Amino acid sequence: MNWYPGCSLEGTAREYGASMREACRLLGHELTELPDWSCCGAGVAGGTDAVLSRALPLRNVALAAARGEELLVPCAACYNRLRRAQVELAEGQPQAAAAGRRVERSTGRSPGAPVRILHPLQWWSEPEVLAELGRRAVRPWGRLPLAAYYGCLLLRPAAVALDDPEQPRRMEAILTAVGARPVAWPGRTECCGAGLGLAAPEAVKRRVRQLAEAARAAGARALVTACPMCQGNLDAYQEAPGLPVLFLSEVVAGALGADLKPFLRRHLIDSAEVADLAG
Amino acid sequence: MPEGLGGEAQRWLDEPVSRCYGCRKCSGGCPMGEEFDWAPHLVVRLAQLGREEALRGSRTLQLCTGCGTCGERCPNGIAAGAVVEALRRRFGEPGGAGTLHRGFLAQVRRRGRIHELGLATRFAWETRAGMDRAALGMALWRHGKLPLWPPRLGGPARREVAAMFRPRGGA
Repeated sequence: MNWYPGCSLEGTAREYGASMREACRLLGHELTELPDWSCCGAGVAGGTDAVLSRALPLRNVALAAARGEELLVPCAACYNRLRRAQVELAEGQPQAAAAGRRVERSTGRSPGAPVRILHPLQWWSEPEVLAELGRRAVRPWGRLPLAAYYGCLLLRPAAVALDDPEQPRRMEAILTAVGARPVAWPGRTECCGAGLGLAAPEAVKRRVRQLAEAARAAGARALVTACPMCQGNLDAYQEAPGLPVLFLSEVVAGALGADLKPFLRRHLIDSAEVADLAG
Repeated sequence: MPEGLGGEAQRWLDEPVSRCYGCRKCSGGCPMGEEFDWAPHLVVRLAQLGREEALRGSRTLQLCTGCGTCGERCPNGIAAGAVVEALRRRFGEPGGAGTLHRGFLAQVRRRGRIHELGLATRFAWETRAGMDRAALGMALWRHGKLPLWPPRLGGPARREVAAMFRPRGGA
């Protein structure tokens, strides 16, 4: 399966990239990196150039369409930008149409060709994959209480939402399939403070504190996210002792038998104890 | 539509701000609202009145994360966050986030991908960031999350990305 790691999966979220490859391998899929991929622009380009904010992701959509039927995009920000630009282009949104022309002129490739932009949260929550996760879970999580945290970019805007934007269920379904017990808590779709960690850390700390308190109050032993930015903020800006913040791919890979130590030692909050609780 | 009723503003905003009837669902759901000087419903109101100049340099323009909650919950299909983004394009992006984002785009243009250590270092230099950020940087470094070397993207791919920054013929 072709995949687009994105910049942070090679840096601050490298354990997300590594555990994603491992989880997919254990599910029987080798990941092939999309050659020559470039930055999606994240949420940044739109504040300067509305056309560029669509052109940066569309270049990668065009590359992916030339190589296969689907592209796995584990980073929530990259997924949001690629999928959103693709939907807007198909709808004829003027800035996306201009971006499509800019991509064609600059690269000679068409971003309008069909390719399915797929996030692992979508893939793993399909009924047949849930059943497979259950069958292959050699080390299920022993009903460990976990707080599924979706954040923003997988759910909004509605055009790219991979689940119900207000009451999502897919991550809970995956956690249940691998033997954990998802808790009911009120912070699931709230914003973590996104890219403001460097520029406005106090504002991020206030968001993170509320999220961690809500998850803890619901009895969760860890938060689970499928977004590098959410994991980064929650891991770096909690007050000690922090609630561990796991990537969904770590939870899945662990249940499928992977050794989690190489991933978890990258987390700033000590998460070894959570891994020991796995069956 | 006469001046002052949002007609002028709407053409460049591309958001139907005149539909707003002030229910404040956007502000009720805004996760950053307590940090703002202008709540989301007031951003829409100012845009309706053609008085968006009041938002130049505001904390709202600095701190909106673009989470999309306002747009998702608006009963009238207005995304206050998209208004904020359009105002950033018009006025420039203020504050530390603006500095960071200019560095971000410069790096994408030059390298085609983001090198987080380089980006953070440039930000720290430009803003004279304090020791708390340096301590976090060291923690990330110790956990192997800040590779020293920038990512390597081939020359042709880099040039393709850079070319998308320079539209010819008005794009």
